[in-house]
Amino acid sequence: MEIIGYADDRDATMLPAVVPPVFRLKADSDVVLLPPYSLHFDAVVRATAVTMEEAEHLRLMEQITLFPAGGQPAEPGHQMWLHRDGRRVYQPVHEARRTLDQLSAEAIERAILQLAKGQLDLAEDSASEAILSNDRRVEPLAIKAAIRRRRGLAAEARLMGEIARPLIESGAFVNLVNYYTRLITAIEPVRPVLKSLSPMDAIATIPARAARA
Amino acid sequence: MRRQRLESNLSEQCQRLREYLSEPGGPGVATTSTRAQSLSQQLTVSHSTTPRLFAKACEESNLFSAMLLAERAGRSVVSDAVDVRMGTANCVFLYAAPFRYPNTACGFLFSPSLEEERRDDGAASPFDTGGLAKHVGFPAGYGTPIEFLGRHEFPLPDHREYLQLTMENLFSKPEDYIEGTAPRHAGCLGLAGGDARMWTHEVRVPDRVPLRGRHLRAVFAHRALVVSNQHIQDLFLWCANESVDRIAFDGPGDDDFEMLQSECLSYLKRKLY
Repeated sequence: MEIIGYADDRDATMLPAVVPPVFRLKADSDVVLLPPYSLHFDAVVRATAVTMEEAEHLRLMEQITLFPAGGQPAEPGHQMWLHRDGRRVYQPVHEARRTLDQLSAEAIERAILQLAKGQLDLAEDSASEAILSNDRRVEPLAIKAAIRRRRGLAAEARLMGEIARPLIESGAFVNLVNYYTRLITAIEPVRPVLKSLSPMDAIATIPARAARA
Repeated sequence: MRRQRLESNLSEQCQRLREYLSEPGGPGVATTSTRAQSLSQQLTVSHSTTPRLFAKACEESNLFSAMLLAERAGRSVVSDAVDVRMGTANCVFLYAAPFRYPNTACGFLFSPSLEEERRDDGAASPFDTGGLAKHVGFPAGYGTPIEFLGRHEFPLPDHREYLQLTMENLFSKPEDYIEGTAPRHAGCLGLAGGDARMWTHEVRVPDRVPLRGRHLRAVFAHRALVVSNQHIQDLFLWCANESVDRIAFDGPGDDDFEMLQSECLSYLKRKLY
């Protein structure tokens, strides 16, 4: 089998992501295998078989992505994923998992630093990257919940808790959110009020409060 | 006039199916099953798509037909596209079935009441029209796929009468239709060479399907998409306020790209079985 594309289409804000390959039989180039399916070593199980013409139609309908430069060999035990910059990676499953987990850990570290600097929008983006890299991690959910809480978006903060429920006990999640909320508050305790002050007032007050924290 | 044609098709095809079942050596007509009746009437209507289009639909609060999407993007629809050739490019495609293929990340389920509301302009067929144009063979007596479709296009929501008949007579058990297990008997449509597309009921609604309304029953998306995309998150919040079910599930595992389908099936089993 060869891989001629993947059954997905996303913009950069939805990356990284593991994507399901679109396979084509080498023995019959008009048989294309689409998900849902599961992979068992070198077998594709319960796939839907379509013709190349149908696959092309699905591409036109923006339902799948086909490689412009043709196919690449399919390898057993490999996984395809798209990097944050859109780059396509095809590597053994354990390597893909390790790389994505590493990206997730780095993005969480970055998000925490950004939280501590009060760069909430950047911290949001980093938390998104972290959960897109590994959606079993709860830190990005807690970081997002803390940012929403800080912004007075109670319903959105609750939604993060709801989504985290299958991953972590709710009390532990609340503790984590409290931790990240304190991290934001320690650095910029009265940020909304600063808007009414002069720029010089802000410069004078932020470092002093941060230093006390 | 159009509605009359669709009703006449339905009546003719139900009659044909009963005759097929009663033929000597045929499977016979089963007695009306309350299980098949209830499942066929309550089965939700599904639409799945890619993460990008899903987020766009959440942002615009609507599912748009290929024609409207092209218009809004300032381009024309691809002239040799299947739905253009079949005359259905102005429709939003849904299925009276769980999510099937090829999407694995997100989807919407609507209540059957959507069909009731669109009874005057919507239609259904007991197969996937995309498959008919390409993959699935139709009987030689029909000159073109469009001609075949013209005789097998049923009204909304009445096509569920045909669905009930097939569930109770062609499948080993009514649940097989929902679970994607092929029927025991082929039926009398004369289609060949396909898979679940030969017997999955397609529901077509012209132009658009509003999302934030009384018909939306459940929303499914990978957890990471809900958390990272504001438009998807906004729809989930709206759903929370309106008591619409929200299913945020794991992204793909190492070798499993069936999660959307299996989450949907588990949901339907909880709600319908």
